[in-house]
Amino acid sequence: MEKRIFLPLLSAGIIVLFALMYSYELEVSVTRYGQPSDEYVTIPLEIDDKNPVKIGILHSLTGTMASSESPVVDSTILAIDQLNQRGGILNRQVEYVIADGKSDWPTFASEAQRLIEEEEVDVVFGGWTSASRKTMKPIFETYDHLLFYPVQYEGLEQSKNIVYTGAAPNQQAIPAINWAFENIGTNFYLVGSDYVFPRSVNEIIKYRIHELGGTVVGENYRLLGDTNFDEIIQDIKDKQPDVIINSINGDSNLAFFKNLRESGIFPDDVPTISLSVSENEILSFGNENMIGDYAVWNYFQSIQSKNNLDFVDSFKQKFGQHRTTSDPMEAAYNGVFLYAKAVDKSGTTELDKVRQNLKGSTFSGPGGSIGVDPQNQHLLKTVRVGEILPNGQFLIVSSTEEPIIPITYPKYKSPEDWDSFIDILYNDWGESWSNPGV
Amino acid sequence: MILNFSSYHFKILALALCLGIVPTSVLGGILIFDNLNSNTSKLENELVLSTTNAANGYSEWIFEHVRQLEGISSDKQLISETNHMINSDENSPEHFFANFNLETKIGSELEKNPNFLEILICDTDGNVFFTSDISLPNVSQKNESHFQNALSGKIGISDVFLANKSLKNKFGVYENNLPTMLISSPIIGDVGIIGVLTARVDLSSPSSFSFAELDYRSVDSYVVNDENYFVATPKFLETELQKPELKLLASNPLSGEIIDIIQNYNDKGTNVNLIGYSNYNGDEVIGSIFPIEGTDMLYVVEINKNEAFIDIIQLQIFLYSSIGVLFSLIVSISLYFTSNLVTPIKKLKDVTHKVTEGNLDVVIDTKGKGEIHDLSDSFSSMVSSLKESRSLQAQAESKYRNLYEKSPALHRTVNTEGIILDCNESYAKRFGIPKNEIVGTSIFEHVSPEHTEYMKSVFEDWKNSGNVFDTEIWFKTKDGEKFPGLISVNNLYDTNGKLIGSNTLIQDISDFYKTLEAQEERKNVEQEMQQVKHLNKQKDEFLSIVSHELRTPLIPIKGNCEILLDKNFADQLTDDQRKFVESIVSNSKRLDVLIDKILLAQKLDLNKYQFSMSDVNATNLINDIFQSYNSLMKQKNIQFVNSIKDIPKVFCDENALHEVLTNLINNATEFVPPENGMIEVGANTKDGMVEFFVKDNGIGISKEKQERIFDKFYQLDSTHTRTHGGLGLGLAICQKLVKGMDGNIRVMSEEGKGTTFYFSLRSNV
Repeated sequence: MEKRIFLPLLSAGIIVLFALMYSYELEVSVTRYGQPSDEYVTIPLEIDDKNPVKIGILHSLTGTMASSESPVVDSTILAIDQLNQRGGILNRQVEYVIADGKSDWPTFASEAQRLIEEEEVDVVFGGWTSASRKTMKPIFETYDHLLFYPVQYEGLEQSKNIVYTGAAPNQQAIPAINWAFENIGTNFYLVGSDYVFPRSVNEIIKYRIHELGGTVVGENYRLLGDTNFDEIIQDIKDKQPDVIINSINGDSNLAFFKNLRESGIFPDDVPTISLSVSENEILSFGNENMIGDYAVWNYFQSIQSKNNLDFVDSFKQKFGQHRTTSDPMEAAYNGVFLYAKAVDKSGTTELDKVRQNLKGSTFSGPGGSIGVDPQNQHLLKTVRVGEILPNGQFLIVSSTEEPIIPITYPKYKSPEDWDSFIDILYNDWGESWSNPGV
Repeated sequence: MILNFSSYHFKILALALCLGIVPTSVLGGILIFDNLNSNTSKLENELVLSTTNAANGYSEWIFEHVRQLEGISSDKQLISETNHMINSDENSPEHFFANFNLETKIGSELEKNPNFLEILICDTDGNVFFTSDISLPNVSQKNESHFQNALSGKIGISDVFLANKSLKNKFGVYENNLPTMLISSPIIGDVGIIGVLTARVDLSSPSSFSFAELDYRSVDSYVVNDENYFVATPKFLETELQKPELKLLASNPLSGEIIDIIQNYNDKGTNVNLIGYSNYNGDEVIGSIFPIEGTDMLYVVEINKNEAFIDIIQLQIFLYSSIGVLFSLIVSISLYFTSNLVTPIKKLKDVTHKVTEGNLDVVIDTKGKGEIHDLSDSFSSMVSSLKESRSLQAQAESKYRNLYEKSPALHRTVNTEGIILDCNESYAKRFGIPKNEIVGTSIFEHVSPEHTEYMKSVFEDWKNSGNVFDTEIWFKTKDGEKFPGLISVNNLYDTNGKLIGSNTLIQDISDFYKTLEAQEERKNVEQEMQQVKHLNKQKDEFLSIVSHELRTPLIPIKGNCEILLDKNFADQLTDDQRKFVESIVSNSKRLDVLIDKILLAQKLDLNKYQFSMSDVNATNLINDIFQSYNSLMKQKNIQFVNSIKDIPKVFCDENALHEVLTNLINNATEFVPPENGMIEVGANTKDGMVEFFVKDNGIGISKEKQERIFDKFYQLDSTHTRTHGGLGLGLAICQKLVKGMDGNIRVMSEEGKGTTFYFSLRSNV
């Protein structure tokens, strides 16, 4: 009896012993570590949130320009957030207030005035269309204030109260013509929205094409927001250009490209080079009718640099993985840091000192290094040509080796002649910066 | 199992343990010691190699950055732009373009080396005029050692410190207090040093662990500065904190003291600790420490002690478990074998003990082999034989016991004092005393008093001679019954042959006596029977003779009287004479009837009556009888009722039926009252029988007398003998006749109310 129990017990014992032996494993647990020291205490950044630096953001959040301008608001906010992460400006918290320009130019003026007068902002970041800038410019000049304008434009302008972080005409339109002339053909068809930017930029373009020895086979405009491009398409078909230079702004682009493809015009035969179609427009319009066409910008989301990857990552992390970045967004983002750097250098937000320190200020942004030209407060910028890919991104097919120095008044006319050219447009449109369409 | 330590169990166990475990332990000890030595030196080599490699790697990592910085500082464009910056007016385009070009240049360098968190350029006075960051440091670098070193044409390396500004960490997130180090390199222009290029290196980006290559899971490595603070992330802090904590002192969390290995290095310069100490987690580790060349920092590599010595520990476990297993095996095997040896012997001992106590119902396990088995076997067969003989003896004893106990003869066992020691059931039963009351009493109490003296003499004789055989003694039972018995003894002797008692057999011979008496009685009865038979025969003869002889003279008397009454003589007689003659005739006739009856009765007694059986119409017969009795009944004033209805024919002797009915009717007429007498004759059919009845309202017959009325010559009353004529033969004759015809006769009567005779005869219908 005892023997019968004893033997199984013995076997069990042996098995347990062997199991113990082979299951012997090391367990290292992290439960405690080190001793906090008195010597190396972390120094918290002392942020003065009682006396914040106040930034006004003024863009169209409604209307035909909303889809283009809203992302710029987001990138401006991202920059402000990052400033605050780094401890603000001069250890002061950075606040912002957003105003809606409603795609309406007088509203931009009145909102700018409100931001300055009522909100008492230290600086304003805003505007997209030249029309809006033109209406705001007198306000900033009157109040001797400061506007950061983030969009490529026609030039022909200069103000000590505006920092132009977008491209001057020689940093987008002229390089676009140069590249098309070298790579595509010599017959150009110009199409645009009927307001001050397309009219002016095409005027410059025509001089440049003429200078190069090319031909402008056609030029046509439609009101902002117009979706009827039948006549223009027919005209393009009739004129048979080598390339279309597109300065249509806003969602009219959707109708234009759709009509273009429906009428059998494809990039292989007649590519379009757009001056106002960025990743954001592609994202909101859809790119099915644009694949293979081109755009000329200083910045594309597809730039491979650490700075840009950080920028894109931070933006997507904050606003959503589906979101894209674009040239005006990067320009606005850079503007915030340029401003911060100038304020830091000034040690104050006083506009005289800030404006002074902005001149010659440099910054390494997502699109590369930039510098504020002390003469015209435009930026030194790299120009890039991108081909629209099926994924909505651009393949960078050309990039200037050196940053281009901004030229606001192209050499084709004297600044006075350019000013009078603009004045005529303004007067023709009944003292408006866009064709009222009446 | 109870171990008796003086037993073979223990001795064999001890021997086996000595032989098995001691050598194993010694060998194991030597093995462990040997392994420990080789393992330790192997570990030391591994640790030292790994730590020096890692320290060198870390040093190399820092100098890589130094070299990169040197490269940037000696870049021609950088030198030229720096020159422009220093020598141009701040608001001049030249200054702006120089600044922009520096921005571009430094921007591209920062792209190339992400571990440079920022790059500063300052003039020889230590004033920073360019920064890749947003804000310019507003303090002069003049007094910083790294700046001073650079200014003297060398590479300057600062201490590790926490940046008091927000910088982008290696995860792309702005973070305050990053552990950083500044490296400065002179910018040498045509006229000598024109400025100093300083880079801030992110020390959180080199994981110290990435330098230490050791094939241990628990391997950990970290860098501490000269003040014993963590500089580069230890492995297990990296997962927790994702960055080094310069604010953490490398100390034992339990004691709060600086980790042993660092303390010992600082105090004594020892590089290796294989004995083990508590690390920053409080875990027991072994480790190695080496300085990082060109810096004040130390590189530490640690391995969890258990893992480092896992071979030894496994060996130890293996040894311990082997010894354990061996121990268990030895114990169990020796127990098994000693059990095999001792258990059967012990069992045999127990069995022997039981056998000694007389218990032969023992089981001897004869399984197994060898001597023990043989012994068990022999013992088993011995016990078997013992059992067999015991069984035979028991059978014999039982037989004897049964013989004694169940014998119909009376047995008792007495001692020489005459005290009964035992007796059998028959004895106890015969004497009517329970056995337990008998045992212990004297034999003389059971002897009939008249024989006590004789019995004593017989007992004394037995004691002297030892002989008693068939001696007759009279005994007395508890009830006082005396009976004769023959005593025989079977003597009992002790082992010395001395008479100690006897088994006494008593044969009850009272039956023999009874038989003698019965034989005598039977003889007497037989004699009496002979006499009775003789007398009966004489009686029959007498009756025969009497009736014959009586009838013979009656015939002439009757004949002569009839002649006298004939017409011829009638006139010659007087009336008185005629009456006398007529009286003579009627009495002669009565006498004749009487004699007939006597003869009939005699015939029936002698079974000489011949029944001539036939189907008789009883209705007619009874009607005839009624006719013949009609006048007599009227004369006697008796209401004579015939209640016969149609009845089937009766299988009988017609004369006998007639005789029975007339006898019963005659009998009834004797007993009906003089006034209002009534006699009813009737019959019922029942179950194939016809039951006739004769009912009267006479005096009735008492119950006792009903039993005897069918006897011959029985008279209901002596007084009636006189008042009622007859010989008492009527009912006897009736009974015999009815029975002779397979019928039954019975009477129902109540005194004072009347009597009814029933007799039934078979009907053939």
